[in-house]
Amino acid sequence: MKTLILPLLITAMCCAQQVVTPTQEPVGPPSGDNASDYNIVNSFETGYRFTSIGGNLDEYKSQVNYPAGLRLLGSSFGMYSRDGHGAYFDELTLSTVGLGGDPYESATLRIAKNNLYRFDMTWRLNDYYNPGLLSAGQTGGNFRDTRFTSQDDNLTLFPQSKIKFFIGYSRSVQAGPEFTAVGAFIAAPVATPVTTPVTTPVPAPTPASIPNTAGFTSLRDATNEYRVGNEVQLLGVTINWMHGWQDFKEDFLTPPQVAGTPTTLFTNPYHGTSPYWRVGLFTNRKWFSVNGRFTYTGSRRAYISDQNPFLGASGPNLTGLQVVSMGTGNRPAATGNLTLSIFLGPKLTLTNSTGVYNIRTEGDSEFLQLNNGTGQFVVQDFQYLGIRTITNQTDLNYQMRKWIGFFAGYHYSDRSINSVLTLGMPAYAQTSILNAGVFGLRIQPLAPLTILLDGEVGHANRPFSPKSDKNYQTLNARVQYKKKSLMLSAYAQTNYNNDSITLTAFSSHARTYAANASWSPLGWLSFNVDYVKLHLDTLGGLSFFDSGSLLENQYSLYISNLQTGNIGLRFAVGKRVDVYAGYSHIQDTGDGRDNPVGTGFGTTIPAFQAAQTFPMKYLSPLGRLSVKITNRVRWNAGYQYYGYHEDFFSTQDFLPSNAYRATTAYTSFLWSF
Amino acid sequence: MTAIRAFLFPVLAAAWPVLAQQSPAPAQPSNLAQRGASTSGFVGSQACKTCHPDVWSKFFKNPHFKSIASGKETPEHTGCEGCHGPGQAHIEAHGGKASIIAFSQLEPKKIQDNCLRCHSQTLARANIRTSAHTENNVVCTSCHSIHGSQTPKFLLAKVQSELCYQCHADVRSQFSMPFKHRVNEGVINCSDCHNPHGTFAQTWGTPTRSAMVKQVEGSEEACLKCHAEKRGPFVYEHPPVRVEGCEICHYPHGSPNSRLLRRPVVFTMCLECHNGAPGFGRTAQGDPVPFQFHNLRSPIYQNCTNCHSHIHGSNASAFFLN
Repeated sequence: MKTLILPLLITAMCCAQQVVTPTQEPVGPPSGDNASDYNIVNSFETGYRFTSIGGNLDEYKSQVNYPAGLRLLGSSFGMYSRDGHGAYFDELTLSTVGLGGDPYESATLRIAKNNLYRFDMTWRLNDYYNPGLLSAGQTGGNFRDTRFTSQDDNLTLFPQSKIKFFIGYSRSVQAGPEFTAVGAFIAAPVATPVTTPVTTPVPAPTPASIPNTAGFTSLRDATNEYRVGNEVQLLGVTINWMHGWQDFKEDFLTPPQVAGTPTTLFTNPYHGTSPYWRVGLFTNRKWFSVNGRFTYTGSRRAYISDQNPFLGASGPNLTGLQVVSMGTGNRPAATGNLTLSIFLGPKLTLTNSTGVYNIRTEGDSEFLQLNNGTGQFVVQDFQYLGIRTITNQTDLNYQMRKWIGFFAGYHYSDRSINSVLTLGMPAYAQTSILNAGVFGLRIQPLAPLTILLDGEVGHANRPFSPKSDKNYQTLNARVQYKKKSLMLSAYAQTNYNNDSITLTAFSSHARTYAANASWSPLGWLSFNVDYVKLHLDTLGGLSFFDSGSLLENQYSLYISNLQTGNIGLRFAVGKRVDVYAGYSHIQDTGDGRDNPVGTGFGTTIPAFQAAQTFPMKYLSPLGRLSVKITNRVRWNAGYQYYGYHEDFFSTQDFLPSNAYRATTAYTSFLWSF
Repeated sequence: MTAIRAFLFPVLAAAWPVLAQQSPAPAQPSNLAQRGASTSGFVGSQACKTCHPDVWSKFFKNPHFKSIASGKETPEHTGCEGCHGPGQAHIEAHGGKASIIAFSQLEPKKIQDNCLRCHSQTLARANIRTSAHTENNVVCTSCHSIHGSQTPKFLLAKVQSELCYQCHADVRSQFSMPFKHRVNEGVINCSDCHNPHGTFAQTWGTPTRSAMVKQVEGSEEACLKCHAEKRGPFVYEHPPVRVEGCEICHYPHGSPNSRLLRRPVVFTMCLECHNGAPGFGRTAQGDPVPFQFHNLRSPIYQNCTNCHSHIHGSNASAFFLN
């Protein structure tokens, strides 16, 4: 049996391979080793990662970002009580990925003692690098090189009993340097001194008042969340409640620039808390189930902003200003869901679900803007935005025969949006009613063959934005054949939305076609291949100024034909050597043109025509060799290449080429003690 | 085949004392066998390991072993028979799938009913019986492998992302894009944002097109759990963020475009809304066309977020400048 299970395990793991590390082949005895009353299973992979990068290093770092160095590429440790009565714990599992310098690292830990407690911890790190917006030939002014770490800790007391208690703590921190244009307009709201509360939106800045004050900042924001809860089962009803506090703070600083140039000191400590309550209650019976979930979140934010621009002669009205603004804002959100399901026999299920969502800005929401230079101040109220949504949906699911079933439903939503731009002025209110119908069909003509067809048609009478769903329809079809180790599947989806009114038209057509095959004909051989094609065309109306002239009734037609393919092959050579090879290819052929300005639709401005398509190519072959040295040691070597190329924007004058080629490799030992 | 079973059964039964000594999990919960034996056909898990030593030998690592270890559960809620039903007939028939609850032979609904006998009392699974997965016959054993799990938690049949990719091949392609959330790298999982067991009705965006997205805190989008700096409230909110949700501008899984944007070039994405078309926006007068000094022919104005850097919301600028 073991000889049968092991290859299947390897096969399945290999299919999951997307990045070359860590090595997936198992090491050590599958049943583990006994030590006292515990059984231990473990594996550790240590090695060195190599990289060689040519082309645009920034682009590589924003997409892949693997540097060279020594790593604990992966590890897994499990310790299990053999009789379920361990002294302090019955289960301890720890697994890690990429520790020691990879840009993407994680660790998960579980410690549990049966019937008494269960503790779960997840820690993650994500090194984020983005040199501004660089797609399609654009150069951006907002660079970021930050590190995001987060940790979730959850302790459950009496996890198997009818009365459970939950205690949790989460923390996330994002920190690092940032280059931003955030200081460019900090003085604009007080360009014209105001002595009375502002009653109209602040004036728009003019080109003459735009100083060049972009600069480096030190970004740091941190989130701490504490939560406590309880779950009780009483008379067949489960009541679950959770109370939590999420505290957030952001410390933002733009230091002065070099002497002789416009300088800015801009700090913006920004703190807030989002205390929340969540209550859920539900029961599952033979003929029906009822569940409800109710939440209340009171997001509050307080901040003080020191906008201290010494702008010299760059703006005559801005010289010598020191501005401090501060304020608080509340935005409570109350939500509720109630779902009733009735099981009318084994074949028919009727479900009705009602949801309410209410969010509003309220309280003493305002900020003060003090001009130390003149002694004047501005009171600017938080703009009120209230959203109230009520939804109701009824679904019917009928399994007519073992081989055929249907489902259908009617969904309704009423969304009201209230907006007050300036305190004391009338509110704008609008309501959008959405009606949608869903339907579906399941067919299983043969045991291994499943066919699913479903669709949705909907209409919203007043969508909020031109891109929102208005008249939309989706159709999905999925066919899957699964027999023993062979699985074939195909999938097609169309998603159309049309939202047209007098001035503009927005329509979006998305069509997705996918096919997948995986097969493990032999214990030592398996492969997986999939192909997806996504076609997207969106037509949107544009209005904008071109050298002072308003151009209306312009259009943007964006066309993307994105094709992706993944293939993976795993085979064994003898009893000691495992080989894995894979290839991933992504290519957008755009709208078929061969130059950026081509024959674009709509406006004749070259940049607009070029923005209507984005042909690019991204490919990544990979290979891995794993050699079993002993039962507890394997030697591994792997290679993964990344190639990125933008067809139109890599060779333009005065712009950095975005293309890069990167070869990454590693060698490691995977061992079990 | 029956003859083979008839031969193997007594051989394995005879060999059991030897096999038991080799087993790393000599679990002997108090009076387990006695509790299991009953006139209703329950024989206790000890009897099962005779023929299924490979399953039993590693079952102590299985979360379901808790029910055996406790020694307090009733026969229908403990050990092998807790899921597979009374084993008496199975033994008397010398094995066979017809004489016991074999999940490979069950209809999807019955599989789910069986598991939910114990696993229904969790808020995260409150909507499982009406979820899209259940409607499409994707039930517990489609993703979980009780005796052949490859993950340290949740008894998943495969690594989580690969499980989902099996049916959602288009999602696999999205996570292979140049810019993506790091699912393939193992840093985050599908279930960080989605609840495969069904969710409550979505309230942001268009409420009918939920993709089993989790709701964090006040039924907000799962994005805000990590991107908490986008939560606000801000003095000036960019309304689509609150009204339509993050997906109005971003692809959540992966994108060919930097920052997971829906367009490679920013200004087209912004201008598709900011075109003054009546009926839209906060005042229903249309999302405003950029002011006259925005000469869109000039590259300096084509990257909108160059200046409108606080596009998700600002405390100082109605134009999201800082």
